[in-house]
Amino acid sequence: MEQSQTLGQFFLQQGGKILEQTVTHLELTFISLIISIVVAVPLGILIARKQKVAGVVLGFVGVLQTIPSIALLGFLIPFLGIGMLPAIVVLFMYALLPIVRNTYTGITQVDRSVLEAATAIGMSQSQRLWKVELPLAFPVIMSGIRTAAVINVGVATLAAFIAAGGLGEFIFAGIALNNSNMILAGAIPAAVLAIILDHLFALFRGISIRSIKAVSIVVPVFLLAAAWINFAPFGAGKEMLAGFEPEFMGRQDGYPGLKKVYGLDMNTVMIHDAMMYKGIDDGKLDVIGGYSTDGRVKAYNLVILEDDQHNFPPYHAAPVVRMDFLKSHPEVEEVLNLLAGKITDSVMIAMNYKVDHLKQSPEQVAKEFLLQHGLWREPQSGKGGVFRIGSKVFTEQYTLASIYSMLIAGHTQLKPVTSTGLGGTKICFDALLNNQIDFYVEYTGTGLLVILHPDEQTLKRVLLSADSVYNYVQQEFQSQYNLKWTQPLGFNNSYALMMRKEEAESLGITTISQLSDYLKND
Amino acid sequence: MSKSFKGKPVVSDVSFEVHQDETMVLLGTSGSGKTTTLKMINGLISPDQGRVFIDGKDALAQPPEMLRRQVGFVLQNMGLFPHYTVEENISVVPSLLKWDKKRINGRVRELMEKLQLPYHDYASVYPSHLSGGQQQRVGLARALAANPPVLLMDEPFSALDPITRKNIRREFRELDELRNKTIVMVTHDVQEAFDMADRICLMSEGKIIQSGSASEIVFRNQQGFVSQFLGDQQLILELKAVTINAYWDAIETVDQTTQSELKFNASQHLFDILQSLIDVPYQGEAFTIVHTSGEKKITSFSALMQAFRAFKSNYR
Repeated sequence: MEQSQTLGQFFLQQGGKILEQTVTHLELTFISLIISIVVAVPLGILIARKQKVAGVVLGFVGVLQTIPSIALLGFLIPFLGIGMLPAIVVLFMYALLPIVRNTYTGITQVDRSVLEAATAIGMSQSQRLWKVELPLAFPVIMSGIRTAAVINVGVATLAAFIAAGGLGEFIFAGIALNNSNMILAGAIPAAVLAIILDHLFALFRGISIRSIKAVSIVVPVFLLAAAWINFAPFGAGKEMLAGFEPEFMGRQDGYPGLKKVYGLDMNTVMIHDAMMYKGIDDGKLDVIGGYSTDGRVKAYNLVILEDDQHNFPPYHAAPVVRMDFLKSHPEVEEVLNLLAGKITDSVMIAMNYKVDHLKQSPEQVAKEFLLQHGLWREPQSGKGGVFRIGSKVFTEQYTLASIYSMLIAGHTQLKPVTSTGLGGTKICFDALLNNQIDFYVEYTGTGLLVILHPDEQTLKRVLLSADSVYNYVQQEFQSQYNLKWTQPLGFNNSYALMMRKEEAESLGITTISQLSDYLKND
Repeated sequence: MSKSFKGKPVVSDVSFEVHQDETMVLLGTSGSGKTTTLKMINGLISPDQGRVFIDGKDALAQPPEMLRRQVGFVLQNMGLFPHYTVEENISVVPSLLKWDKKRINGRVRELMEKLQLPYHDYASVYPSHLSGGQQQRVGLARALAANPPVLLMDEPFSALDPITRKNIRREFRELDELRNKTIVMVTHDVQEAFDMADRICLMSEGKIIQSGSASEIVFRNQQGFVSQFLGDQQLILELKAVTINAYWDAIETVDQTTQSELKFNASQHLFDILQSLIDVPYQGEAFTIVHTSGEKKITSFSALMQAFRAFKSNYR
């Protein structure tokens, strides 16, 4: 078991990478913060002058902040692609509200008699702003900037979803891989950063008003310089760029396996699964790690590189159910097995394509499938209790969850309830283990490598065939976790390395070995 | 000048002249338009109609900032800059006028000494650490710093407690810096107006009801409003309005046999003499009054009252 590594060892071993990601994290935070200050402070001053538009502007930046950050990231991809730019834009939007609001409040709170005095003794409007209003509003503005900085440190972790790096890489990889050390390697520095920035800006706030001018010049210059120095290396020397989602990036059978088996060595960025295909389609990425049954392979005109040295183990999909649920509802296993062997690779790809590319709803595709196979039945009473179905966050899982939901409703007295959006193997598995769901569809290879972590020798023995993997996970899940694997659905959703078809063809690459050779000769 | 806010006239056809080195007080109740009138003089409020001439030149023709730097302004709520020290507050206008540092510092020291704020103790203190009276002195020093020929004061003492108010008022009156200034001051306090003014404009509902010297206002008020406004204070104001010198000739002398030791100066007001007589066992006997020229008269209180009454009726 690899879990025996302590947190301290992990930090020592990954020190360089943690530092690098911390620096990226700071870049993201500060570049966006500086842009926000440059935009938000004048905006705050402007709306303090024109009270009529204040409500509209504050409302607008307020609404920006209520949009979930991940949705905002996804929304920007078509316009800004992936990488640092959209991440900075999102962080910028989030930092606007506290700074605009505090600038507005700070300026409008300046004592009217002081302002009148300034006018009465002959200050011009700009002298009044620089000599009276800004100095007096400074502490309030500064606390807005402080809030924005802390928010940005938090939101910047999500930048890892769109290949912008930062401490989120460790956090999301850690969650995907069920590795607490890795999660903490991202979470602890992020928390420390937030605390340090909070205190740093609190210091600025407390600084006597006399030093404002010095601070207002020195800080941005320093930050810009720091940001510039660190920004420069980004995007340098990218021959071919690979984008991997967190799980692929860290799993033994993912990128680390490819490095070991093929000697593959390339520039990689971490990116969210949903953004990855867009990234390769836009030409921002050249290689991605995906799933062989993904409908988007077809939709985006990608080719799967042949795994000629067998790095990827089989990933046969099969339902995993709680044993104690099966004991109280034995009829369920039979119903689940109705689908055994019915969904082949091509069937699954076709269904994924319909949802991903033709934008049909998973429910529609599920019903169509059940009708074709004569398995569709009108829902029964639903009075026999609740059957909680879990699903990971990708298309295939949504469709499968819909199929099972309809199947259970039609063939048993149970009332199916689906929890979609359990983001990753670890979260799904824990939900099942903790009796928060009763069932979800897992893949044999994933169960083996992510949950069971067998030692090298067992792994070699088990990986010999698809059947031996299935048998091993079935046996171990039952004895270790009291969970039952029912019969496989029939498709193998294997990990796969893919490229854009025209690029692969022009380079003459059809296998992973060829890709590795191409990169080495470069 | 005239000014309306939202169609409601606040100041209607107000016109007056203030002579060089004169202190003119705009006296009136709140809402009488006196503050609006004052603020139109330095362009803080722009008049709908009318013009302001300072030293014969159209004051509102120049950029308002330029005008305001040449006209001192003392505010009701002091309006000191809380983030500036006393020295910095006083230096603001000279700095705006780009005086050199040495000259500014010299001027600040001079003013602070004159206003009883020792430079070493107060120069680097922030306004929040000063008492109300001290703050008002800094406010005055700020207004005087660039030596403007004209000074505008908007209820300068109203934020102070009665005792401080009286002391500061006396201090200001005795300040040489204020003697050679043309001052327009706004107040609602009758005592203050009569104390400080060379001339008073009594205002009501945006109009000047009456203007003139203190004695002209008390003795010659043609309109019911003035008596009503002065109210209880009318008597005291009358007694204080003129010195005995003013009606010296009308004072009749009395028999010298019952003469007391009492002796008064004719430069005093009748009010002062009344006050002194209350404090001693006075039983109607004669006393001595000395005219500024040195001439003496033996007289009685009733004779004094008679002369005053005659003066009053003559004045009308």
